[in-house]
Amino acid sequence: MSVFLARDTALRIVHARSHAVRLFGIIRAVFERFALTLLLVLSAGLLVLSKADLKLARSIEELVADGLTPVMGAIREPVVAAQRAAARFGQFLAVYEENARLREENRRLLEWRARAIRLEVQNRGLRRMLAMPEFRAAPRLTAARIIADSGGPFVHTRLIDAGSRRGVREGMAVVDARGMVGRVVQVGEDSARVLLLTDFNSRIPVVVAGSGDQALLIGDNSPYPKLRFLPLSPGFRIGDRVLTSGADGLLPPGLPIGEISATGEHAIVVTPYVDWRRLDEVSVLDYRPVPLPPAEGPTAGQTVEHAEGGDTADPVAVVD
Amino acid sequence: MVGSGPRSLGRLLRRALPAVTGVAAVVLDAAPLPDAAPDAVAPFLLVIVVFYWTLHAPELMTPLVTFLLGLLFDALTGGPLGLTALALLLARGLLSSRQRALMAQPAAVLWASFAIAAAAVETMRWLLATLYWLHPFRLEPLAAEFALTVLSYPLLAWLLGRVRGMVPRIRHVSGD
Repeated sequence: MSVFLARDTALRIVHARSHAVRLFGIIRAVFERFALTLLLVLSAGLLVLSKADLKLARSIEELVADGLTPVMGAIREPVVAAQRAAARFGQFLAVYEENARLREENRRLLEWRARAIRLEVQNRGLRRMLAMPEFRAAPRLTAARIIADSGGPFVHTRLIDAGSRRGVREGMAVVDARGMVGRVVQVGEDSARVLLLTDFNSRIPVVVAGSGDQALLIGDNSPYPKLRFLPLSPGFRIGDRVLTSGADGLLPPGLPIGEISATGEHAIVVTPYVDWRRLDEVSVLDYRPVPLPPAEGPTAGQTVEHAEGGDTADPVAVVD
Repeated sequence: MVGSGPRSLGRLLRRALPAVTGVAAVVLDAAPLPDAAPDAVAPFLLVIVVFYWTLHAPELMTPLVTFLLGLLFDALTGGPLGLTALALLLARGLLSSRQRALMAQPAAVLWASFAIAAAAVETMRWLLATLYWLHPFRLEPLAAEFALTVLSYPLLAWLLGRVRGMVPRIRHVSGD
């Protein structure tokens, strides 16, 4: 009796399995037949989700970037080594000229240093007289390597190998040895995406050092971002330095960006200081603006959320 | 049905070669260019790899693999998810019905066909990017990328030809 029962159960399992196999086969055949259409619809759906700026699309991007960070870091090494070797060979050939140039630069920098010390002393005295708080330069949070670029002509971004684990947050400024590179727009655990100041989405509040004109530096996907929204009668001149103004409360004021290199009817062209050709390591700046005094009523305009229990404000970047 | 362990594993790995070369192309596409200005362009290697395998091993470069490679490219380069996948799948749709006819053609005709497919992909990317960001992107960088991609095709196709020797041939399936 029990033998018959066991055989019956075994037969049922075999039947159920053959049904499952047949069903799987049908699903597979349907998928193969309509795969292209289904996936086209799915791609279009993902594109709409990305546009709607849903967390899902961003999470997928952060996950992939984090996962591939070690691979991208590893393939970058031989390229950078070859580049440095070539540069070293070039330097070897031009060592005398380079030496003369460095001597001259050193002489000029010593002059600047003396001037800077004099101005700093004067500045400190004047601040004390006016009871102004000390000016704090933004400390360097972390150094990071550039491990991926935007791989196409539409956006100018770079992926760096430092993320939230190393304290990187959205909105932070990224600089190289010469000046500002861009700002962080997306943060994963071990990677972050930097929007370069040349990208057409980049908007940075700036001040022209010579004239004090406030403006917005707007990228247009060319290597030369443009100044917009200047005062009606600006006083700048070609060659003036352009610095961050810190007017958005997110970027530290006084970061060098570049200098005005040309003016036209429609645009004032800025040449950034950043050395794009040797941009393989950058620093992320840890800027926490001095908290604003508590407002009497609701303030219109920018939104600043305060971090819990700290004496500093944690800005929430609103980056377009 | 299932072969012996190491042999079937080896076969599986060799069948994964088109997808692996696709991932390698994505990684190379996303790798930072040495000594480059921010608006520098480079050949779009992924489109070459997808075109090559769609012609020579459509049963392995399936629409799903194409979709996943496009998605990987978008995620790694910070583009909107789905943009490259959509452009590659549309080009694949155009190509798949002509696959058998193209296979019989000489290399020069294949190169010209690739130029048409790459032009379709780039046009689609430009259209989708323009719609997505509502920003009229300049065409010159895209044209430069297209030209570099077409010029890179013979070398990369030759390299992929070496890899193709290791890929096992299986029954012909249209792939779509």
